[in-house]
Amino acid sequence: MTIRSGRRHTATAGIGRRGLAMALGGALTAGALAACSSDPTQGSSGGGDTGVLNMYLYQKPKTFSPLAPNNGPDQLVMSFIFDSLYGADASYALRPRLAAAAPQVSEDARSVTFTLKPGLKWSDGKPLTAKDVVFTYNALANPATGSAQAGRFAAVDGAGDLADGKAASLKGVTAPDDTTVKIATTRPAAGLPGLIGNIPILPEHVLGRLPVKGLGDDAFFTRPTVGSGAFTFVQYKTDQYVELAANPHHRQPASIKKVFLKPVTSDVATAQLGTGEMDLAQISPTDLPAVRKLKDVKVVTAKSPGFNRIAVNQSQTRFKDERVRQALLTAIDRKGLVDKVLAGAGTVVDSSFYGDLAPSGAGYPYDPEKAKSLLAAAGWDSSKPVTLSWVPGQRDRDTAATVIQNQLKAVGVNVELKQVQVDALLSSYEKKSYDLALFGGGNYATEPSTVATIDACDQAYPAGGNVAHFCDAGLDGLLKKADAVADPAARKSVFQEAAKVENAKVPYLWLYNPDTIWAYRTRLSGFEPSGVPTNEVGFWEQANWKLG
Amino acid sequence: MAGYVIRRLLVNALVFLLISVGIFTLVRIAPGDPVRMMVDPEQMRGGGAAFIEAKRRELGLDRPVVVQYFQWLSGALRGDLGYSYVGHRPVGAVLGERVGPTLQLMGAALAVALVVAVGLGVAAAVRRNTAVDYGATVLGLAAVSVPPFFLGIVGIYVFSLKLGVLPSAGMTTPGDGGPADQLRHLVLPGLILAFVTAGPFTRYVRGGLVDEIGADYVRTAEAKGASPARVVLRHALRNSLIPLITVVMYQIPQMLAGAVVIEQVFAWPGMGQLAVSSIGQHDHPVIVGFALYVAVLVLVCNLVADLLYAVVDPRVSLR
Repeated sequence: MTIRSGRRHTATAGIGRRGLAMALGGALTAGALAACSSDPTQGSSGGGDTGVLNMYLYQKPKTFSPLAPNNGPDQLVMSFIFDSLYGADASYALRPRLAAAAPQVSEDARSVTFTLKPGLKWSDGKPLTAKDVVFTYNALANPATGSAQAGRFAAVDGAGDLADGKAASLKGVTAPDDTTVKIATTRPAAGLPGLIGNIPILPEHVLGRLPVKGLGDDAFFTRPTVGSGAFTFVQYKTDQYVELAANPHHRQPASIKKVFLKPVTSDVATAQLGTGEMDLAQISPTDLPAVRKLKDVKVVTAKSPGFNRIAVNQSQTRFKDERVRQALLTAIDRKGLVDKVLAGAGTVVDSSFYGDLAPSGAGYPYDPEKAKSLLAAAGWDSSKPVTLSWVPGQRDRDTAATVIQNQLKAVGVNVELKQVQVDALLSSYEKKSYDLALFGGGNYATEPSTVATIDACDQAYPAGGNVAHFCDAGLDGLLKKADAVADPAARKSVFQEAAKVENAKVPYLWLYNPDTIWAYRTRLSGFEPSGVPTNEVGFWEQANWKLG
Repeated sequence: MAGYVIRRLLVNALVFLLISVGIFTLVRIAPGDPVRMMVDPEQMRGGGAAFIEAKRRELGLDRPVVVQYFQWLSGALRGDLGYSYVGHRPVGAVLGERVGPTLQLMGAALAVALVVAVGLGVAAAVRRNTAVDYGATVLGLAAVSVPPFFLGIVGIYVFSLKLGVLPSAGMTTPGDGGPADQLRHLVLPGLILAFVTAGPFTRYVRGGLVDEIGADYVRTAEAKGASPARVVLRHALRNSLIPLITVVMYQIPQMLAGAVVIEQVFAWPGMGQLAVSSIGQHDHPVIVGFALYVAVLVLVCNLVADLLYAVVDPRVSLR
């Protein structure tokens, strides 16, 4: 080897390009060194600022429009910046927010009156009145705005004419004065408050000037300038964070000055809880042990109305016999799934109806022998395989699928697992080509009549959400009857009856309602966990939150 | 040379057009209905089917693919790439705001990678079959064989969680975003991307230099009494870097793939994150826009590689 001393010399030529590269490299290294000397949990360069809350968003938001199809992260952001007449409390009952009192449903359940709190203001200081509510409901009921929510207003007088373009507004929705909204319906609709009361109210003085056609695509919904929530929207730095600031005109101004909602992966969120870059995050049961070890972090749980369940394709003859569906339910150790897969953070349920509406009693305890005899009685052909489809990626569902496969095999149901994409699953619902489908989703806790969306005969997918193609005239009749009962107590007993029928017929294989687990840094106080914090499924009083 | 460039540009335009047909067709015929994905079945309250049908009409998805393509092309020629299905913003604007962060990440990583690769490559070449050379080989091997996401997770664990010296994700700290803050956020993802990129570069530098060191002109220079350092840096290294130029230009589109992973791990708001989320949401106009952006990047890099090659090595002629 003849040449060895090159390393002692610095390059003297070609300073241009290489020099630039070196300068950049040097800058990066310097940055790394500088970073070493500062603690990211201190000062303005990291989290931990008094008055600034960093919160985890489990997905990136798409739009901040109540007209758009419901999307969890969008709704979470909207729950900060918009308010609704009603929200749901920790037990998922309807509670007034902008409204002054519970909705007044007439004796015949054909009209509903909402009363607003007096003196409400938008974040720009303008008064928020019943006219804004009328404007919002008209926008939502009109498909021309691009609204995906028009179905909720089907019972309202004039909804059909508005949808067909024969009328410019909803005949049945009026505002006799600044704090009163009256809604007339064409059929009894006692469930209407629960169906529409939780929709964020939009500012007419901002949006009323815009053309109705395509309103939902207006730039306002990517950057809402005026709202009525505890916070106002400042900016969405794409993929980085949504910045919110306290709304000085809120009826109870928040003490926290700023909120940053950050869409990161759950792993990063968990790590950031430890570093102090994150103050509040929803975590999965599998991260529980790691999060519990973090210093200055508290973990709280809330009963959630969300669920995991299996749809059984009842357009297939072999699944039509309810004894088969009962057998499948009995063959699955759901208590075991909650204990092992969710680390105990969940509840086994026996119905789509929630809380005290759900039938109490033994339900469908794990009993393989009973499952076998039910299948035998129904003449089950165990030679034909059954596919279990699901969209992979969520740890609890992935594990549950394998466990369920084994448990069903044990009673003679030859299950084959099939991982699919979301759209493939949706199209198999429509083509009725799936056998069993494991999925998770929302809730029917706040307004029980919404169970019709997944159970009623006329709601078969894709018209409605009845992906199982289940149909029972008795259940339909009871749900319809509930809509004609104005008295809450009497209505409740109709739902309890409906829940019993649903429980017996097993339209879906209910697995469990996973608890929502929240972790927060102890400098945050006043935080009460709720299920999924959207106006639809439970709400937060962000105005009560404080940072120490 | 001007004639050559014009010819190449024309060929590239044709290739680009063909790629656009291919991408457009593939995206449209791929399974998955963007409109169906817009509504969760449980949210459909009687009006689901009507909403889906109306939305499909509004987006023009009810027309034949050929018609859709020519509509898209006529818009694209006027600089209008259509609207994102998600969020309803112009595709150009959606892509535009992502170019900056990705360029920043890739640029910083490329700069560091080149410095490291040249330094390490020279050291390995002049000290062949010593610990330095073997060390460089092992590092190079590690760089190409350890997946970037793994390095990312380890990096976050060590530097953010355990040592608490670097931020774990994002491009800025919410509410800050000054130059120092941005730099701190760039360190981890930038260095990891630099590491995986530097691996192959180092091998090229080392290999090229070893070949040159054995060449006649180097021996001549040595014989004329030039210092060993001068021989390596002025003569051999300069020539050995010529192939590296081509390699770097070809590697840039490859780097984008690494950047996609790094962006996901570190929540870096660049092109890669956009591509992943658009594919998940079947946001066709954005997917097509992104794919064409990559196509342009590949075509431009190839053209630049050829031109630069001719500039630095006069023996290459462009005709």
